[in-house]
Amino acid sequence: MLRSLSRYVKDARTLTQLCSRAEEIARGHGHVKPGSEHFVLAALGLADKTASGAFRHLSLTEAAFLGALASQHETALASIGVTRPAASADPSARALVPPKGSLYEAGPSGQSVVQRLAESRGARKGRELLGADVLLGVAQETHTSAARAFRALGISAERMVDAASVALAEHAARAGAA
Amino acid sequence: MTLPKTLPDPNDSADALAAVLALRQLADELEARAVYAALRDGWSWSQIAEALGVSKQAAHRRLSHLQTTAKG
Repeated sequence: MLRSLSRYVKDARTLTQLCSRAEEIARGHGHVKPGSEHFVLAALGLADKTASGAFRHLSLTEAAFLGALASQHETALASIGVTRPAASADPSARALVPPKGSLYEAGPSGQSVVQRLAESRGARKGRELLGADVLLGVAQETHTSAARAFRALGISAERMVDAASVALAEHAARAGAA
Repeated sequence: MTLPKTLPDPNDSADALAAVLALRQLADELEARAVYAALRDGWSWSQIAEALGVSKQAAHRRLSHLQTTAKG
């Protein structure tokens, strides 16, 4: 009972950390509300290193993922004949975003990720919430910016699930050995 | 800006919807940068609202945070 309560508190702390970091990343990119792509980037920074481990198994870097996000945005604009104007440094993208409201609000794809993470509690069978769980959640998406970016990098949902599962198993082995 | 020879095939929903999303994000950023520049150049909220085709209240409610940025 005490262990269950302690895990619940730990999961809540991890989720808060993910939400807060995803929002910071989104605002840095000039978005008010974080989408699932920002949750992926936030998960890469978690101390458990399972998301970054899964990326490593996919031979994928954070820079490559960011590049694919930007590239699919440019491609989508190009399909309607729009070329993005040269980036202006002044003011920064962050300065164009309205200040944070009193209530936390994610974008629709970000909300779905948070909901999937909350619902994954049963499937995790008592295991704590980890960064790779974000990737498992995003693997269920088809048409979001994150899903399109992963597809452009040649990473299918199946490969993503496999890599995340391996990273989670490695984390469990490390925890067992400690 | 170059004009498109063709619009995305509406039957290819994924590409067409991705284009809509990208265009919306670009429009939001372009609006913020243009309003920032207008405020910096001394435009009033009435002038900005008129140019955007919205009410002064609507423009101020959505974009007033840029006033601080432009003054800073």
